[in-house]
Amino acid sequence: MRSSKRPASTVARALVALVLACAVAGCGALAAQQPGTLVIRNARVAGTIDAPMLEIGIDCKLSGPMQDALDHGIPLTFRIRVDASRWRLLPSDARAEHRIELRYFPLSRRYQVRDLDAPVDVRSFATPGNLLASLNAMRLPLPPAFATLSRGAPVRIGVELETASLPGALRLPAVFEPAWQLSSTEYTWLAKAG
Amino acid sequence: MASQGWLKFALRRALPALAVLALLLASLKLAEDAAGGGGAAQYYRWILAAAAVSLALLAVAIAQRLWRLRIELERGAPGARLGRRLLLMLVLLAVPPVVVIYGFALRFLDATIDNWFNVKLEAALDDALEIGRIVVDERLRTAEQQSVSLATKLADTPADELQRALDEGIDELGATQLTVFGGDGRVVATTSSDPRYLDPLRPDATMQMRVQGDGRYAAAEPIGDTLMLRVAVPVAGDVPASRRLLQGLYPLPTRLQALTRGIENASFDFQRLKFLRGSLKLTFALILTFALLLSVLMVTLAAFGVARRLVAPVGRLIAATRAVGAGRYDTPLPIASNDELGFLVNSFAQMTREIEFASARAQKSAHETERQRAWLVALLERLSAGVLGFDPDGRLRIANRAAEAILGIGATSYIGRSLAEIERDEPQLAAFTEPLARHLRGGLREWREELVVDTAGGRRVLMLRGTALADDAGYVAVFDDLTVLNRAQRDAAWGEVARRLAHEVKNPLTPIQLAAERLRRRFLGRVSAEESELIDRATHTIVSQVEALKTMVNAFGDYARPQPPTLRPIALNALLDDVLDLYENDQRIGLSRDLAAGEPLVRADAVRLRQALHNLIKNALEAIGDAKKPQLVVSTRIVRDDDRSEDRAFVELAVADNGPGLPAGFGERWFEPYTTSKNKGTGLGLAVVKKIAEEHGGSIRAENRAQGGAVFTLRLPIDAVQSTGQAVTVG
Repeated sequence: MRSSKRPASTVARALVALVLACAVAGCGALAAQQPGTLVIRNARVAGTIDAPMLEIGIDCKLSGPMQDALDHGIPLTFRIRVDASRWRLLPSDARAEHRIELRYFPLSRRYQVRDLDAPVDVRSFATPGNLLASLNAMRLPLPPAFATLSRGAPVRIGVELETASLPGALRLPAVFEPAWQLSSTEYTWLAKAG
Repeated sequence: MASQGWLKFALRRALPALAVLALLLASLKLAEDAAGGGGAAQYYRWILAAAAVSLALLAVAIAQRLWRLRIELERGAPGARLGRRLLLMLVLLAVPPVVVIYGFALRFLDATIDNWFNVKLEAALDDALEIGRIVVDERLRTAEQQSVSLATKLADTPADELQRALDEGIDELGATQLTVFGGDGRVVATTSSDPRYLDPLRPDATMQMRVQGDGRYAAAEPIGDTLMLRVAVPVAGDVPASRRLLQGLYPLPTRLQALTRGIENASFDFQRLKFLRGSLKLTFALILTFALLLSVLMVTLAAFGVARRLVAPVGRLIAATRAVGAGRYDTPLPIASNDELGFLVNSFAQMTREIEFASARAQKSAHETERQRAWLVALLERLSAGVLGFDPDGRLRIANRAAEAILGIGATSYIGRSLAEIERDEPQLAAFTEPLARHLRGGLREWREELVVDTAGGRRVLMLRGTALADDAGYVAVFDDLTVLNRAQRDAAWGEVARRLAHEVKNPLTPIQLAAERLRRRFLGRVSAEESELIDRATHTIVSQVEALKTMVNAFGDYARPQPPTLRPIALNALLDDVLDLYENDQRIGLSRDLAAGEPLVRADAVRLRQALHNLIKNALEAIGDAKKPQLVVSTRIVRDDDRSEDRAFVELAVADNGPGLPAGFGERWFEPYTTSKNKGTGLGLAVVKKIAEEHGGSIRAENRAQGGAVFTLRLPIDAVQSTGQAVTVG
């Protein structure tokens, strides 16, 4: 009986070892990719005549695959979530979301940034550096509820790459590949009196 | 119990089915999404987590079934090995095609995606894009020249005329928007031919740097959904510190706009696809792998179910076969289906019924045979004749108790052995085994022979009869011990002789004696001395011989005594003392007593018992003769006879002498009448003792003493009733 079991267990061990080796190699290959960075430098809610505006400065560095995708005409969309509600799980008017799209046009060789939720604000740049630099100073309209924030109310903001906006073929790899995972840590500040 | 059933159903059936369904939906959703449809991107993590959990569930379900199969295999459960074989076959049948299709699908997918990217097509698209750029650049140069021309014109235009000049210029140049920015960046004047572009686009820092550096800025820019030509030139003549800037937006012709957009989109779609090629392959490979895993796991799970479903009736059939083999015919069989398995089940059920009937018949027959055998054994055990059974090879197969008793051997220990082997171990039985072996070899159907055999119990006369069993089944030898029968016959004959002697001889003796005495009285002294002496001797001889004859006739009379003994409880030691006291004073005899302690009681005829004792003492004295002084020892002792089934006690009365001992060849016949080794005596003494012993349910035996002489032992049964202390008669 022992002699008949030994080859089976050896094969099983070899298979397990192979799977582990593949997993380790895969993890190593994934970790080898340089991820991008996304940091919120500053943010504040500024009052204007029309509506409160979010002034936000983001330092963004795209990963190699992201930059490559952008140059191949794949739009990258960043989701910016602003939340000034007291309770996160309850519905509130003091929440807003903006989707900023970065795009490249090959004919004109221009990089464009635009707020998908405010189509009027469109800017184009000759280089990707200028494009990303434009994220350092953005003004995004906010709902009126942000104009009446009580003093000292916490305002939280977070930015992340919206993988759901990627082409279908990229969505599944984006779940696993670190190069496609780009999100900022939450930035929080206290509102001044509206 | 119901909840446990539900739980079992959920764990074994529902969960794996749900897992398969979840995996299927996940694969479909991922495939749909990867192809560009769907909108499940935000649920990817949940979908993948659900798929992973489903895979784990399926793996656990399969592992659990494998474990159960292993336990069943180790336990030797009915149908387990067949189930394993069937499972392997099903998996081997199903998995390779799935894997082959998987491999082909991957290869096909890879080739198809690669085929999308035709090199010539890519080059054509690049060329088209370049042509578009050239056309746009040409238009851009024209717009730049027009803008420079207008800026030159505006240099001499007063400030309040600027707006009018722009309004004229926009129509003249065909621009969409013209704006003059002051040195401080403020809008000095602006005009637009398209209401969508009323708000002037402000130059950013990059543009201003280009203007300052290169003296102008000209670029095609995507503005909104439209590609516009944007040109900025400084207004000539202004001092650098307050130099104004003319910015013009020029549209491309509608046709060119559409063409360039088409070229850009086509080229861009191609580039996008080219970039996504690897991801597309990876995504579809992952989805195909999902589908492969799903298929393999589903096939394996289904194979378990199919194998179990197919093997279950066979397993129950095997269990039923085992039960039938163990003699349990009431084991329930699986319900017969309408197929070959059902036919097998029905056939098995019919076979089981027939086996059950046959077994019952065989059992009944075996019981009957056993009953017959027990009856036969009982019969054989109660036969007084010895019975030996032999197989056709002459080996002993059966021997009854009488055979053992007659032959004086443990015949059952020789079962299975031949007569030669028995003879080798029991050489004294050669007179029995040799004729028997000869008859067995002779092959006669029936035979008989009278044998004289020396057994442990003495010489025996045996009437041996044998017969060969039918169908060469062996032989049976039956033998009777004629020794006792012969003795009884001789006893009866001697009794008849004695009665005739007593009756026919005794009657004339008295007249003869009286006549002889009368002759003696009449003629003695009246005739001559010589004649008187003759008469005296003759009459003396007649009288003495008549006395001797009377003694002998009386002895015969005693032997042939027709009256039964009068049995009464007798205190044996007391009776012995009475008799022995008669010899006590005889100086010629040395007599000693060694009587058992207590007072053994026997039920006996005191007169005959006295006679027996006298005969034994007389026999001893006669055996010693005159050569030396007789030394007699009379003893009693209590013994228990273990040979009999009932535990009975006996008292043994022994008379030992210091004579020459028993003659050679002394045996049972020495207790028959007229058998004696002595010159004197009638030869009836021991015969009478034996007869008295037998009348009292006892026996007599004789043996030599180690110190010389012989001892005769009379054994009598102890009277159990009277020994409890009732009245005892001594004389």
